[in-house]
Amino acid sequence: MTDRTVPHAYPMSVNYEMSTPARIYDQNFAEALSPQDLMVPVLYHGYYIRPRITKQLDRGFSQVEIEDDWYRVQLDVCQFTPDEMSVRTVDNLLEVSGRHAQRIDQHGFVSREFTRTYILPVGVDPLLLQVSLSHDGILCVQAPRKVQDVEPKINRLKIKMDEKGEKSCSKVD
Amino acid sequence: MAGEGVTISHWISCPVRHQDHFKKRDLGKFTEDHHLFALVGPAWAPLKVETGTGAEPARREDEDSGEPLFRIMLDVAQFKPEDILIQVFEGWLLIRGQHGVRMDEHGFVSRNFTRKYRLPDHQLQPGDLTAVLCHDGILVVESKERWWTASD
Repeated sequence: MTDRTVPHAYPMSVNYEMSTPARIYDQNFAEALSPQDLMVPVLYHGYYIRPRITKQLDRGFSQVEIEDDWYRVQLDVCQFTPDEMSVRTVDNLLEVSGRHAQRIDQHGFVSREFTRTYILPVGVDPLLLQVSLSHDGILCVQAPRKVQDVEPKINRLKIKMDEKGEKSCSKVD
Repeated sequence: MAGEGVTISHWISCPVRHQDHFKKRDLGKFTEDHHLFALVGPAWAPLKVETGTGAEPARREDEDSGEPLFRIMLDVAQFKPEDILIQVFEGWLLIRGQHGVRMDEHGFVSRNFTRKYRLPDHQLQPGDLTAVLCHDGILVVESKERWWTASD
């Protein structure tokens, strides 16, 4: 692939690249715009961006909270109705998928499909997950978490001494 | 080199990633030109009308001053340019975006969508349309044909 600079809308902080943010945005996709929605470009961290009138800044997020005694994932799925969503777990993976057939909106016809996979942290039992969908379209998956029960399994390995025989480095050549 | 004069290179006010683009060109021609990196917003339209009242014939020659017959805008910030397919089929404009499983901060995600728009003209060919994917993630598909407002 050719080298390309990909500008990003997140603040350019040192910590951003290193840490996993608890909340990420821009999860709503294939949103149609009309020219009236765009405002005059403004300079933001060296890039011109066009603020949008219709953009709800607090929507379209995905949020993961991992605490010692509970685990919660919230995902904005306001583009989908409850019967178009499905949630399942495969081993320690939590798969949230949504699919809607062609529907009409104010700009034309649209159909969408997505699958998002979260990795369940240690101590979360996939059988105890509870899924709820709020009236404003935010899917919430939560489960209790038990960290104390998880004991590290320690296995001490024995080192076998080989006193006779060739040197291992002489075998290489 | 005693014979050489002093060269002053002017820094163009534009995103850093575009600076290379201007290195070998005549810098005087490039003032802050918004068309290079972003479409002008609607707030510029009244501004243009004011300046255009004095020189209307000149405006007619300018390709960019007209409005396209057809224009759609779509937010495809999550997709790469190669993930997007644009087709014209019997008076319909189809835009497909699809990306396979990719990793992000919260795990893995794959998405696809299809959008259909009714074209105003059945005879519109794919060659009559242009598509631009702006760096802020907005895809603009518009017709090359332009029209000018009746007030001119």
